[in-house]
Amino acid sequence: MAPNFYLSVDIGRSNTRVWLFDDAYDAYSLRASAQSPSTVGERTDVRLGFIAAVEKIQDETGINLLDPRKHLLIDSEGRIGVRGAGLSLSAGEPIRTTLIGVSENYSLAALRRLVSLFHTKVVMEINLQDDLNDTAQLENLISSQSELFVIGGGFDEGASKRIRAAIENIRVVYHNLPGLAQPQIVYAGNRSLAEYAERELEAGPDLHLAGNIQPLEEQEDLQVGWKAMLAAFARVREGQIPGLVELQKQLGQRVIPTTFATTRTTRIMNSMNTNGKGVLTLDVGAGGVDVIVVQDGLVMGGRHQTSLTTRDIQHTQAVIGMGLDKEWLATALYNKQAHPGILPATLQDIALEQAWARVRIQNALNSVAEVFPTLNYDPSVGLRRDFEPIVLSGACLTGMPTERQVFLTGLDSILPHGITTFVLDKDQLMPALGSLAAVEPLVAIQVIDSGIFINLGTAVSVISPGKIGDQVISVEVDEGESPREHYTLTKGEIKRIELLPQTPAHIYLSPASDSDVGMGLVGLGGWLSVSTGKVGVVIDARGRPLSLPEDDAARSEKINDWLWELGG
Amino acid sequence: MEVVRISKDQTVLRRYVLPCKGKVLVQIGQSVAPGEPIAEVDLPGRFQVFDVVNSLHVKPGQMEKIMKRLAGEEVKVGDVIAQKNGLFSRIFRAYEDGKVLSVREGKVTLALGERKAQVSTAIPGTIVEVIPDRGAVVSAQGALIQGAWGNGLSAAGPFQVTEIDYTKPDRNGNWPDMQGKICFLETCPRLENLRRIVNRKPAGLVFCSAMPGLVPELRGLPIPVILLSGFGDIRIDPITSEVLEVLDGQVVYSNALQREPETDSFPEVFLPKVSEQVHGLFESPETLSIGSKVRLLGMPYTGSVGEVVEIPAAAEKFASGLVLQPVVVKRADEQVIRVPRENLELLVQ
Repeated sequence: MAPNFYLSVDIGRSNTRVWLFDDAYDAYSLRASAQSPSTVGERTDVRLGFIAAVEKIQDETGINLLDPRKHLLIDSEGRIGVRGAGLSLSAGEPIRTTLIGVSENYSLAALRRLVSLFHTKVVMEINLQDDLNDTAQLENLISSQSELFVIGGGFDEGASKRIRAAIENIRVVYHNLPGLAQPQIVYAGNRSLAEYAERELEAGPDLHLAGNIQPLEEQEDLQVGWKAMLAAFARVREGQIPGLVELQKQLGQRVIPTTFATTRTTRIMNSMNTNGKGVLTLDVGAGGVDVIVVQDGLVMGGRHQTSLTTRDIQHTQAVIGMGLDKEWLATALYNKQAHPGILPATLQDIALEQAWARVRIQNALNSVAEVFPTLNYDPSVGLRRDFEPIVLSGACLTGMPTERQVFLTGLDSILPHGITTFVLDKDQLMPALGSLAAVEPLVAIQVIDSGIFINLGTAVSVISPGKIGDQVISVEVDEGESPREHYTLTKGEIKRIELLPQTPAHIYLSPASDSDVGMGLVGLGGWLSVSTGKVGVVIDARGRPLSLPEDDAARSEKINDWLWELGG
Repeated sequence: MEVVRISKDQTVLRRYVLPCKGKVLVQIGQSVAPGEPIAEVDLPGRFQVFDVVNSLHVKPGQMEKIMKRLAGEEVKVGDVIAQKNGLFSRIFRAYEDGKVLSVREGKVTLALGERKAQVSTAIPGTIVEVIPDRGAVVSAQGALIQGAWGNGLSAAGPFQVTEIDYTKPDRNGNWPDMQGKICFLETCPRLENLRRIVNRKPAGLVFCSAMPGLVPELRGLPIPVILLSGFGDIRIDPITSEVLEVLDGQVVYSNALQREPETDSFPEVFLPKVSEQVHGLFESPETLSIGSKVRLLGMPYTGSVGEVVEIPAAAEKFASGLVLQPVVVKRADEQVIRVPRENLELLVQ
């Protein structure tokens, strides 16, 4: 029987990537992938980049995917071409968004969380409790030049007068300003006003009604707003990107934000996870960093656009594993900003690339933590919630020369607590599987299950109040037939334990009475079963925050020592 | 790999469009001068939301009775919009010409006054395409230098290749006259001297490079600033130098746009001129080949130029440990180096 094919497309700022999956070997697996420069702009057509990428896959596999008009051959019965396709997009400027809520605590904070997965930039927030008269509010709404208005707030059956007034002002903006495309409106507030909003706004397909994301005090459910946000996202991008409407029609799917697609895959991984911990995904690209966290039914995350500040330069200097002149470093970073496509050619370049990735990951985690305080992240102390696995993705990580460098970049930027596993999404499949999940969920589940992500290794972080040099943990490694090995680490050390390939190992962790290895109690140890990863098991007894020398040269040497301990 | 144009004779197509629908003011074939409007739209000057119910002390049910104007109606200054009769009559009048936008929920919303939003061409040229309701594409020919960084502003003025002896005081004719000129200086000086330059009122500044510490200052200057090669201490390359000679003394247009190659947006200096050569109306796609002129981007070669002498088919491992597609380049100083393809800018001359 002929295999079933599914195609996933992700349109980025620089490249359009396409992945082809099939079930030739019973379960779905990645058959081929290709990329081509994106063609997103007013004077071009997004389909050109898509066609170029699909043609590369055709050439590689010999599978006919395009008809003579260069349209995707798609047939849900699987007789020709592909059975289905997914489409995600991160190209384009963030969507200019205005949030309107009845108060800071009870709606604006929740709205910020709602829009964070949809490639938005909040350009204005209107707190209806502020003493702003209707005229001033209207002027603000107009001057924001928003492409998207998101209204929230008000418990169901609660007070509604101020929300009604705001709806009236949005109506004026919507019907009277000559925008290129009509702004989109998402209503996610008091449910008793939803009908009123629909009637008053008269915005037809540009109004997207969601459930109330805060129906009761102390209750928040962002997921009831996702469908409306997805529809609004697609409408905005359809109006901006020539060829997108036609491409959606060909694929039989509406476009979703790449960050949201990655979120879907992270949720699937979390649902397949039996360890009870959450899943964290970091996608580090040249233009921005996506952070997605799924844990206990909660989804947190967002996209942090890359920018460069003086503080970032100082921070990069503080975490670079090579003694580089400050002026050189700042010059290289600014030139990298001007030319994001530059690739590291020298040792200095790669040291800078890794340090810059750490800074950007920390900035991204920090910005997500500002919107989602329950993330429990502090840049110096690290991430205090438990996640396993941590998925590392994106060109800036997958492009690093060795897996050990990727591992240490992840470890030092996230600073996890307890025990976790790092995996690498070498083929950058997270968005690809997420956009396909709505078409055929089995593709995502089976591809993830096939072990397509590279197991980098396990990190055990030992948190101890002791001082540098104090003994904090003893470790015993049992790999079956070979003699058991024993290690003792003092605070400040990091130790890589190489494991035999294809051999499951058991490690006994015996922390000092005041040290925490994430086994539930301070001082509590136990056996840990680990599978072989590229790096092995890393016992990180450096503590939190990391203790680094003040002197630039000594600090760089220290960071370099850590990398060498992991194998260079 | 990015493509950058540094040429004595180049066709330039620039698109000028409104951010919203409006009226296009030009036609295909029409010549336009810098600053000439391409399209415009009339927008309300301001808005007013008037709470009729609370201000005139009427019940919501009485709105229909007291409203004198309906939504959509034009109003003149002094026109009565709403009037409550009785012992103490109360009136709401338009204080400016405008339009009633809405009458709802006990409130009336007015758009008052008028302001024109226009988009104008920054370069002189000919209209080659009209984009309905939005704007047009201007085509021009001339000398063009695209750069690496701009502060977002634009201006026009005579171009001057400027040399300054910073050891001398900036008076008594020690420093060249810069007022109203687009001045090129090879390196951006330290902050104190930069401020002395700005005090001499140039219309714009073009540097080959600047040290990163000066970026906040350059970003905040009220005149356009362009860095041609990027950041650091980069000397001008011979290819750019030749074009700078052509610009010297001529009126040029400095558009210090932020660089976004994906949208064909570059900071650039443009000198329009009539060419003996007839060019097509489209900028042709460029590809890297043996003999191509390139500019190097990565450290330590940033800003230097050379010629491609070999494009090996196989990827190779660089000192960084990455396996990348190499290109062999002979630099202007005869040094032959291997660099990743991504670390090159293809120069179109």
